[in-house]
Amino acid sequence: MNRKWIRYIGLCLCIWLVPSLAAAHTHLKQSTPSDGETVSQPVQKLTLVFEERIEQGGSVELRDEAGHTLKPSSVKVQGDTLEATLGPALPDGHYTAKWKIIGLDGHPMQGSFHFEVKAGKTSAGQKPSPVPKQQPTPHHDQHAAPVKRSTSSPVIWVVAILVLSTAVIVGWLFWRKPKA
Amino acid sequence: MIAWVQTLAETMAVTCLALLTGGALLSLVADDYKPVVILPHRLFPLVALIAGLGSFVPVLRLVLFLEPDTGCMEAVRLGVFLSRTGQVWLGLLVVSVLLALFLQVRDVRSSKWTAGWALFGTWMLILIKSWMGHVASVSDISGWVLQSVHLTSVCVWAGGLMVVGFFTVDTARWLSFLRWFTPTAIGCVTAVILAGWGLMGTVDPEYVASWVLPYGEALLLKQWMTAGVLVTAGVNGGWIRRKLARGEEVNPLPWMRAEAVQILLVVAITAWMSQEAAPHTVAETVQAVGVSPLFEGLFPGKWYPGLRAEWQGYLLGGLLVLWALILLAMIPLLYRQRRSAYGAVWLAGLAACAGFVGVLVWAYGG
Ligand SMILES: [Cu+2]
Repeated sequence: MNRKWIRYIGLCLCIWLVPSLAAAHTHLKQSTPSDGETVSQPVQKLTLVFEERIEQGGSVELRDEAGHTLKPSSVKVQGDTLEATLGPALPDGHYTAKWKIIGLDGHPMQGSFHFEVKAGKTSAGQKPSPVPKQQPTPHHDQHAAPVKRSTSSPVIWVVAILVLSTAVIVGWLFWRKPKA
Repeated sequence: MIAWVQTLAETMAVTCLALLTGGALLSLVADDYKPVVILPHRLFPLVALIAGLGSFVPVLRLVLFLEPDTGCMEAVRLGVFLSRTGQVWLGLLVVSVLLALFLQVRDVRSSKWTAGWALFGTWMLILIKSWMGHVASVSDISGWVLQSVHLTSVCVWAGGLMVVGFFTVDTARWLSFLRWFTPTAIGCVTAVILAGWGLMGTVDPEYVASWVLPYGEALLLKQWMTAGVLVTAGVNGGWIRRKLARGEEVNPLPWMRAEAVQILLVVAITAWMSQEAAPHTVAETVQAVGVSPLFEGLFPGKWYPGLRAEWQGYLLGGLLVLWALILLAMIPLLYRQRRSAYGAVWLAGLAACAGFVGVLVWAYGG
């Protein structure tokens, strides 16, 4: 083993260890109302702040418990902030806000957050429901405790396929007589 | 679906950029320092055009994303003319059309001036394309510089290999060609490494944890695939070269092609990766896009929030990794026994699969 080869192998190891170029997507940093919040003030405006600047054309829509969607009357994007004006204040209830934006990296992103309004204002047809049907669960705590289901893993089949393909390919490559 | 279209288009665009770079570079080199290369006349205008058009898919993706909310015309206005991606793509398209026209009118090989201008135009395309990418958008100018260095190096390396590998008719002056090409290639590889290191700040910090995401998996697969490229490059730049220097009869072309094809596979994996969610926080990204189907398929029901690599499948995983290494070691054997160079592509691909599954099994159990 001469020095040249050692240098070559060192180079290989370096490349191996370097992950390729990457950058983060633009995620939602914070919002008003925030995820899982119960708001006691009237809500007429949603403000979403993202991690980086976002492109024009972002949108957000609200869905109430009954499944009705509510489109904001105007949406303004400035820098990293998307501001949606709703018009009249929201009636009490649980809401899911679904947002769609384009990050400056050109990647479309979407997501949602939940909040509850308890400002004492009810919509015309809706009775005040003192007991919420279900607690709004911020989606960060939504998961059950780690449960390991014992599902059989197909890894052994994958290995079998790999063995088979190795046999075929290596056989095919090395079986025939080499070119003279 | 569009993800596959984008992968294909992006791979084609980078291939075309590499061909342009390689063609222009080779035309600039004096005849004494290159083998006899015959470049098809019509190739270059076409390739210049594809380099610009192929990069349209990310913009199309934006338009399709906006369309349901805003309607068609507005989506085009926002996506193509107002978004950063769209604007940069328009710039890319203009330069690529100009370059295509130029290469249509004047043959690259006709004079050193033409070749020089073609190389300059190609480099402009590379710079603009790097600006379109994702690193440039989130970091400041340094991200763009590093991305440009990365893409330029890949184009010089892969372009040289492709043009020489596929269009050489006579390998008479091969050694004097290798005398400058091997150091150039090594320089390119080094530049790729350094650019990678430079961008480590924005790279996914939870490397191991990110294997539950498509991005992290593609990265792992890419690294295994790169191992195969380097082994093949070792055969090319070391072994074959030494044999030629000793005056033995060898045909280096098939092995150059094999290396070029392997680099293209790596480019394809990268193209696929660049549209996936890069995980700066793995847990958050999993919340947003879910665990990769591949991970779910290999380890059904395994994932839960807070899952960490347990490094418990070392028996099977280790065996698979060992097996991958043996497959890689068979590539020089292939050469030694004067067997098909394309076998290297197969062996490298197989090694990448085995190594990839091996590392995952090693980390997450059988
Ligand atoms: Cu992104």
